Amino acid sequence: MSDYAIELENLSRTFRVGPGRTKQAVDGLSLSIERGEMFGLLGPNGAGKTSTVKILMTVLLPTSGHARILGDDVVEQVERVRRRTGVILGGDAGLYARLSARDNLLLFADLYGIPYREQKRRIGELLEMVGLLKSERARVETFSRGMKQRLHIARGLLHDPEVVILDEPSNGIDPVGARELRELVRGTVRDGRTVLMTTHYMFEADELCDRVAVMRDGKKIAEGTPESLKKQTDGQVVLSLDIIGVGEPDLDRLRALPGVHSVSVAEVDGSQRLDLHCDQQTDATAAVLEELRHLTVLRVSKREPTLEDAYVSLVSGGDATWTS
Amino acid sequence: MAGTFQRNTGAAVTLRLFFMAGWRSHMALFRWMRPSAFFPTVIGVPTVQLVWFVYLGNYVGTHPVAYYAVGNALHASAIAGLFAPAMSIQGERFSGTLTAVLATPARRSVMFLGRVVPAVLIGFLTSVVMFALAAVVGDVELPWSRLPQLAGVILVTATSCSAFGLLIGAIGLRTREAILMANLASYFMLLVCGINVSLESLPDWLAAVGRLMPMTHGIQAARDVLAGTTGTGVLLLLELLKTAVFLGIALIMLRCLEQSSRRHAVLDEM
Amino acid sequence: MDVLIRRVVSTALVLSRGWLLELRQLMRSRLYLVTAVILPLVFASLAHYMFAGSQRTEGPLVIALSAGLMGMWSTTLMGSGSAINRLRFMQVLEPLVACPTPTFLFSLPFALATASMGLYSLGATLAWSALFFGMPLELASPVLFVVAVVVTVVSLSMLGLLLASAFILYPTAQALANFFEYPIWMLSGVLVPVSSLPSSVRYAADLLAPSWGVKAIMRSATGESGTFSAVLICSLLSVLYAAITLILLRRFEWLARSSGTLALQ
Repeated sequence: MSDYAIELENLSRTFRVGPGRTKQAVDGLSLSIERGEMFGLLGPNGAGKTSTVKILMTVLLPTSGHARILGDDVVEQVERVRRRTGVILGGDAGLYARLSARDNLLLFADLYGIPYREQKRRIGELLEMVGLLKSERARVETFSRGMKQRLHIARGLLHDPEVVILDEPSNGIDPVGARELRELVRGTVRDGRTVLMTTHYMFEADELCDRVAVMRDGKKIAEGTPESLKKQTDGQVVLSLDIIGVGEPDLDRLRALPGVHSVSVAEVDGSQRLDLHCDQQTDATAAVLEELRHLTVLRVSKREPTLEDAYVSLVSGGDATWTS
Repeated sequence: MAGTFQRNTGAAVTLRLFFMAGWRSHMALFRWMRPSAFFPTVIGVPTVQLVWFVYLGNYVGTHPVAYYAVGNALHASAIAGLFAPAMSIQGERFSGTLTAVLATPARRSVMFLGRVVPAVLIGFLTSVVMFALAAVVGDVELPWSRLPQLAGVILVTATSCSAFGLLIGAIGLRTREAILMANLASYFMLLVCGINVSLESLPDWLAAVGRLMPMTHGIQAARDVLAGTTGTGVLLLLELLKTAVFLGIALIMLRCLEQSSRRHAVLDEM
Repeated sequence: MDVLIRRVVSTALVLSRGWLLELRQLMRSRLYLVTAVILPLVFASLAHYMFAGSQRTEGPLVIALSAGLMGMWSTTLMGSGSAINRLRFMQVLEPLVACPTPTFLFSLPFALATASMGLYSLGATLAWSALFFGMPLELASPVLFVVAVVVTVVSLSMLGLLLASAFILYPTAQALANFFEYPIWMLSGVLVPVSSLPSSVRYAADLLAPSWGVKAIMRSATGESGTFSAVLICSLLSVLYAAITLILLRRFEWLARSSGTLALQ
């Protein structure tokens, strides 16, 4: 019996994206997740998170390498893996819109082979837990996104799995709903389960996960506790400027300044937010403002780096990235 | 503690998977289950179809009117039989639930075969209603003594048709054209299954194709039962044999398609 | 004046582009194409074999034309129903209704596209019949025949549009589309002359533009008199359908918006 709940060993998956062209979605990924651990898989869109999750939930085969859940190979011992793994998908799809919440759960209870006598109790418990007891008879097509997501969670936990895989659970959920959702997710680990979740919300990973790994272009580029990731930006400060009319040549000049590690830009309400990762020792503020003196600077502030900053500086490889 | 529901493979669990899960998927995915669609489609279409062919058959006069009435009354089960299994498998793709369903450990054969049962049931009931209509507008005589036998014939025919529907659904797991195929199959059966044209008046090769299609022997058996001739047992056995073959091919196809879907990641493409 | 011309041109552009797009969407499905080829053959065979042992004197041309019209009608009905359903499914019905082009204008191309497929279906049936069932390819008055066919296609697409406008409100559109198939065959007098219908039903048939189209096609093919009047009545009825559709679409659009059936599948 393996000591790890989830083990990926040199896992790769290639897709054909056209005649003679392939895309390496997952590229030699290795991970070991302990039992009872809450693990976060981070990365931008297209980094290979969803492919990894699909391989683990046995609906996609790896091109090479191995993936094991509780010691069972996801290719060879499909049946055992499926019995012991719960899958919680994000987004609107994946539920039967015309059935009620309860009927959705009953259907999957049968698919997971839960005995009839257990079904009623278990479904009642779960509906209560995710707060859908009041609307259990309503059709899912009338549900809000947050309600659907909570139903997804109940469905994933139906057969009381030892390992739970969450694929971007709070995608498109409002902040309050997302906070409730995180509470729910935290609750699932309390029962001794192992949880692997993908997300691109850094604070979510920071709040929930014991350890995280960051993926880019199918590869793992960092792994560790949220704290250790943040340490990568130790000795740095983030200089944040709200500014109007900044262009690519300005950014290049900023990047060339001594003590500036990376520059990223985001559009915020008609202005641009510049985040510069700078050395704590060399105060670059004056030099930066000097370079930007021909532009309107609305606000300047300095702050400690967050996990998000560490993440941004990782996935942008030290270069500037445009996001909005 | 996690992991309490992991070792359940008893007969009761399998039966529930077969009947209950099959019924729920049917309710979820057979688009015509809501009353606003059920009556025009599952009851309405066979009704107008039967009236039309009785009217046309009466005008043409090649066979007695009852010939057309019986054929079309049995073909009525094709609406549920062909479309329900096809929609229930193809619908999984559209609702995005296929990935979740295929990640469960449920036995595929039981799960998919369970989806045929509601189709058989509804197909059977439709045909029964259509036989009542046939008695009114199509000169079909239904003596009480032969009703049990006739019911048996209808059930076998509806089963065979639904098995064929599952086969179409299996193709639907990979293409999005299952509904179109079911439509085509339904019209084709009007021609080759001895519903409106007797097999003898078709070219030999077309008649041979007709004998391989569902319903053909069942329809013959129904006419024999109503005429009081013997030997319907053989016809029903042949119909059941075809049913088994359709189901077998459908399950093998579903298995192969699932495996190749895993390999080529085509589950979510629409 | 300039404004008027510009509007006409832009409307024509919207229509033709929509028609092309819709045709392309229909063609993209390989199985739809297979169906489009095989279904006329099935209809033609069904009609020819059913009449094979009959005492009736309908010639192969009339049988083939009837079968062709059956196919034409089916394609039109299924096409308009599925076009609206497809739009709804892809969640583009809402943005389309929200755009400034009138609903009538964006639904017209769907009806035209499916009617063109219907026209093709008629051609295919005639071709199959000539090939397999010894149908003579002789038309009494070819010019009138072409006119009659065009008018019939337009009338079918107008009727299809009338139904499609109901489909915008009624989500299970195809269910109804299938339901209407047989009654329309019956009322428009394909295979069985309208004269064998009960008289009360015959009046209903007179209100159907396609049934006049069928008369016009049959008469021009066999050389009977009265093609002109049939063509005329068929066109008048088509215009009437278009007018009703226009009113209905406005009403339905409003109803659908208030009941929220645009987005639901």
